[in-house]
Amino acid sequence: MKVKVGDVVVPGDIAEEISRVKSETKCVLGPGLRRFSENVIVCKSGIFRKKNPNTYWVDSHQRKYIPVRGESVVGVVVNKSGDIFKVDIGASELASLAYTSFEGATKKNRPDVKLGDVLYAKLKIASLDMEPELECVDSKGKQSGMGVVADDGFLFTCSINVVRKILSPKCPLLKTLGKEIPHEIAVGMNGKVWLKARSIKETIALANAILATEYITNEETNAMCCRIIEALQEVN
Amino acid sequence: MDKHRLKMDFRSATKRKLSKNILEMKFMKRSKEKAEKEKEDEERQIMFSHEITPGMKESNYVLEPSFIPCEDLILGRLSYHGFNPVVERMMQERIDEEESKARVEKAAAERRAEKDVSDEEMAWKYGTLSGTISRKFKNGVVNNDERTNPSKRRMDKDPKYTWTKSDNVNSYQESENAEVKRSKFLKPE
Repeated sequence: MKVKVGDVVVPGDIAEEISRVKSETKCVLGPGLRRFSENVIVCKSGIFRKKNPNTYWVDSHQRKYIPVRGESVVGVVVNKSGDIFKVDIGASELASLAYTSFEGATKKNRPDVKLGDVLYAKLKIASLDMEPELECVDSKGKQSGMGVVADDGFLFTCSINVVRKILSPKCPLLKTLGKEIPHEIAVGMNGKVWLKARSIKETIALANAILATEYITNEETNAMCCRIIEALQEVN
Repeated sequence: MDKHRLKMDFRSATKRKLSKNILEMKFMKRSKEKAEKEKEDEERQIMFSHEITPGMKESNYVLEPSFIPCEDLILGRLSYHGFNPVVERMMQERIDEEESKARVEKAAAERRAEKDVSDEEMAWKYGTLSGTISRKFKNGVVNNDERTNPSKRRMDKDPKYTWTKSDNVNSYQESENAEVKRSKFLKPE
């Protein structure tokens, strides 16, 4: 079936609109779309979205993470063997992380990483048929927020939609809560979120707030944030 | 022709190839990565060149498997109220960067918008300006000539003559131009 922007689409639908675009700039096909000879077809179910200029994607519900190169993820170290750590990032395979891809690490100067540590890292290699590879340094060899997060804190898994929602620039959740509740957070594109606040109560409140945002609008999020902040003040 | 091509080949070959030993040095890490990537790309191109059809090459589509650029997502490492100063500083830097970028874009857009409005205005102004300037030049010629033609100045200034001015300007100018032309060929005294 032929579909247009804003429609609910299923795999196999033809996005006719894109092939009709005649422009100098290239069309960007985001997640959920692929090219098939002359047509662009949908390969995920969801809502067909567009952003100017010429960026199209399918807004789908998903819990399983498919690694994409360059995305930042949160993972747990599950194995150490030889020169590499194995990190669980929730993908179909464990990701590997070399000893040397930490800031200032050399073969002699190994980073202090233990089993069970939570890492915030970037995907260096993510191809469909191979195991993903992580790194904890940016292109300048700096740490820039990556690496092992603090020992305490709370790690939970949510759907990838929640992550996309709270990281979108329009979402007020983290900003509003951050004004009242000091906390630190590492949100991975793989749907794992690590969170640390002053007390257990605050941590639970934040985690529940994040999980509750999935199906509510931004206005409702604001109202919810106010309620949470009030409740926490009463408790203290 | 062949010689020329040979020379070009030689040049392109020597242009970027750094020796293996230099690339092994520690500070050359990034250049090494770049060189390796180039080599890999080259090899890949050679390997698959017979399988790539023209249709595959000239694609108008770019595949982007990540949601981040599509939805403009921010980096998910955040800290509030000084909980983790390092992360917070990074966050602030990112925000500043984005703000400055937005400001630059906004200024550019404004400039564009402003220009759109003032295009007509500018055209109109230039239209009148060219008139003004040409008049000025005409005046300039007139002024120059006043030295040689004092009777004209009197004519301009004298209220008695003003009513005839507009009628006479053209004829004056013609005669003046002729005079200027003629004066070009005059020998200096």
